[in-house]
Amino acid sequence: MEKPVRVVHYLNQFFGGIGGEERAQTPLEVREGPVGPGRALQQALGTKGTVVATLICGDDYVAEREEVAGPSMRDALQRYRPDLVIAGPAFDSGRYGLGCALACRVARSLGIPAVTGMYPENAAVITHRRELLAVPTGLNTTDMRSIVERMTVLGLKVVRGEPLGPALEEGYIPHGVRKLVTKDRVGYERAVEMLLARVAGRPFVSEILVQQYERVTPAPPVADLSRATIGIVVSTGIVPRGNPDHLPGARALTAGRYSIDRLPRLDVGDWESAHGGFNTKVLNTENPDYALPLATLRALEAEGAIGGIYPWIYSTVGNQTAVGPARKIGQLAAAEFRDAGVAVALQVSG
Amino acid sequence: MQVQHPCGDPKLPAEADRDLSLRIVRTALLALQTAVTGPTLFEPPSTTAAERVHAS
Amino acid sequence: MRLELAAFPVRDVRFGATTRWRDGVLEIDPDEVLEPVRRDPLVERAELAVARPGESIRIVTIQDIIEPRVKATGRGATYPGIVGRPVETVGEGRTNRLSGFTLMTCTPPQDVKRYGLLSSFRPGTAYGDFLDMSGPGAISPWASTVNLCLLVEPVRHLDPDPANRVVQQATLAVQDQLARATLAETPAEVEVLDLTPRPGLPGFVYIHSIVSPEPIYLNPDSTLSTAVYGITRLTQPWLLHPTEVLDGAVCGSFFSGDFYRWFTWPLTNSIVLHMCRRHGIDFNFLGCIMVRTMWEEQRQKELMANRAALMATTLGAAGAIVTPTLRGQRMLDTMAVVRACEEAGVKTVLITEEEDDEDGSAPPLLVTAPDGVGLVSTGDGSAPGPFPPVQRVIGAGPIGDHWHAEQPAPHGRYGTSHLNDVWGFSRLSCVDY
Repeated sequence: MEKPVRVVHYLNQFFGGIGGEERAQTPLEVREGPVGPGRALQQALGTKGTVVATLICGDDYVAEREEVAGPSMRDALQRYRPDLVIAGPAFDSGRYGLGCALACRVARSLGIPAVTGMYPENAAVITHRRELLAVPTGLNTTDMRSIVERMTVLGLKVVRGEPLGPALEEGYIPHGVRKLVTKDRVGYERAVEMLLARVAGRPFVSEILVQQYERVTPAPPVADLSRATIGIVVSTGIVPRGNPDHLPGARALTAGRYSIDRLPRLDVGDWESAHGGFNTKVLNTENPDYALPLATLRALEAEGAIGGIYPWIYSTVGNQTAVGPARKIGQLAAAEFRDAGVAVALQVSG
Repeated sequence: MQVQHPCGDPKLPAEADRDLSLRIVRTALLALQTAVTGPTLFEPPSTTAAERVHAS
Repeated sequence: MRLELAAFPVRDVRFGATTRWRDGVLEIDPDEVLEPVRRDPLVERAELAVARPGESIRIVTIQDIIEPRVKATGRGATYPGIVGRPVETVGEGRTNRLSGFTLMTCTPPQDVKRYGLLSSFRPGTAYGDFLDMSGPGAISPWASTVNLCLLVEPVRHLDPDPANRVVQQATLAVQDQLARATLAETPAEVEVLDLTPRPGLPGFVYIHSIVSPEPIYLNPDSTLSTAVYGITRLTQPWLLHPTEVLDGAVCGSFFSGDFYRWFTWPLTNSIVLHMCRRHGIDFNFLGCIMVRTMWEEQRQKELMANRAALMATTLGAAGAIVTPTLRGQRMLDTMAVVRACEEAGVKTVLITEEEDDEDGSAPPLLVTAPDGVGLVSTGDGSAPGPFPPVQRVIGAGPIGDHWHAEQPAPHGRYGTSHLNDVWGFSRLSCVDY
């Protein structure tokens, strides 16, 4: 018979039996053996594993003092040397979710597989999706037994080193990674079935569920533009005529950096657009200023509406550009602007 | 405003075109001075403030 | 409307002294079939080649893929409107088809620099402009059809549009002759597609997006994209009866600046045909709405979407299947249609390729779908690979030796795509991990 798997379980103060909200500041405590839902966990493990210890931490403590809670968990895990960490389930509790996520992340950093369970819209999923192996739960804590069983099945599979299949088949919350597969039926057959289900009000599963768009916190407003230097970034593909850097018409990976120092406007004899996603005839035979309004900005500079114009522009082609390269271009421009004291950036999109 | 010429309109007479470009860029400057919490669309005014004064 | 589709399956193609279809074998007299093509002074060279399933063949420089069809009875001509063909309404009577067979036209890529366009697509990128007939790369529907490749090279001095017109003319001249070979023969099977509504079933429409070349090439009559009865310009939505689509009323490939996307075969042979076959069983197929994409102003996009939604509700549709053409800004137009339909109470399912997720750091769609919409993924444009070396390469014009060698797995990154499958004719998809 195989050696039983050593499991450490993580719980919050409530499920760990310490107390309710009034005990949410409790620092990490370690108990030998299973506690509370840990008994269901031990039952689910049967002879395949043993809950050797339970880590319990207050929700506020773990959410507010990650820098202390994390190392305490690390010490405990190093002491018990488990083969698997099971955390929660946390359902929709945000702070408990963060605690479970922290326990899983600490375990992973030690090379120990970890499984948790929570509501798919728990804040911890949204923050740590890529790193978490989490069983989706509802909001109802009475499902504890079946959730713990699913966490156990998944955990034992990972301990055995078996590769995990698609999220929907294996029953975990998607990591936000998409993989190419071949389905049994062609797409239009699946589409007709899906539409029949939708129209009849029957349940159906959309094939694209996760739509994570990065949230960017807006910069605070500029107090006094008349004293601010403006930096210019465009994705309209404006380049010196002849396109010296060979900026491609689509799928750009980089941006060009060009001087507009003391230029009153972009002259059509000296500038053009390398954009391949729309017709550039107007820009390239009449006036490239339509895609980088330098003459207008100079007029606003002259009347004092803006303090000045930074002499270097960044220009790329915004045509089928991947997110990764676009982010790098933005970071490059932002770093230079920040170092040069440029207060604001103006972007023309193409 | 079109994809082909985002900061103006070549079909307009030169002066009106310059005015349109000013309105667009001024709207961008207004956006820079406005506190926002998420994606916010700023529409350039259809006429300049000066024109509106004349019209009223 | 009622259309009979008479199938003449093609198991093999032989070159011979006459052109005829008999018992699943299409015999072709190449000189006869190519005569009208070679007679065109704007054609420099025209040849035929056959690619059968399982052969070690890679086909490159494909301009379009078309299933030969001819009207046996009923009004008009198949593939109407383009290159001066009649615009009589099609979709009724009987249409003969060479099933299990395609005419694959190959031509050297057009040079859009002639139009002053800087189409400097990044060199060295593997584009999905090839098809393998065997091996692990044989994942397209055309790996299991017998394909007659028509290699056409227009004379060199032509601009892209007139050159494309020459190629379209050649394709239709050949397709007409091949399909006519069935007219005296007995079909193996006749499918009756009678789209009379049956009471008690929900009504469905199919809404397809077609990119207009008008704003790209600044030419309202450009042939470089899919035409509806020959028209490619940026117009408001068109309502078509599904059987018109089966007769080729919407045809032509899109030239994206450096290679063609083959759109004719998927329109006649995939989703519309499938929906016609399910009509009267699961739902009533009420119509096809063809929407043009590539609008350049937000209000124009909204107007187009509103018109499409109004057509759907006027037809009494409870549901719509929506397909895009290309990704990028065209996807905004398509999603506007989805949104307008949902707001009008028409439930939608969108079939789409998705964006490369860049290992989880990018979202699968360029623009969010409204809540509750059903999404069917046809993959991210990539294909499992690599594709092993082949013995023979078929293509038009100068073909690099590199096409014989192993091809890397085509990736879907940066908007490229191997199959351009927005109709769901393949089984590729993406799932969450």
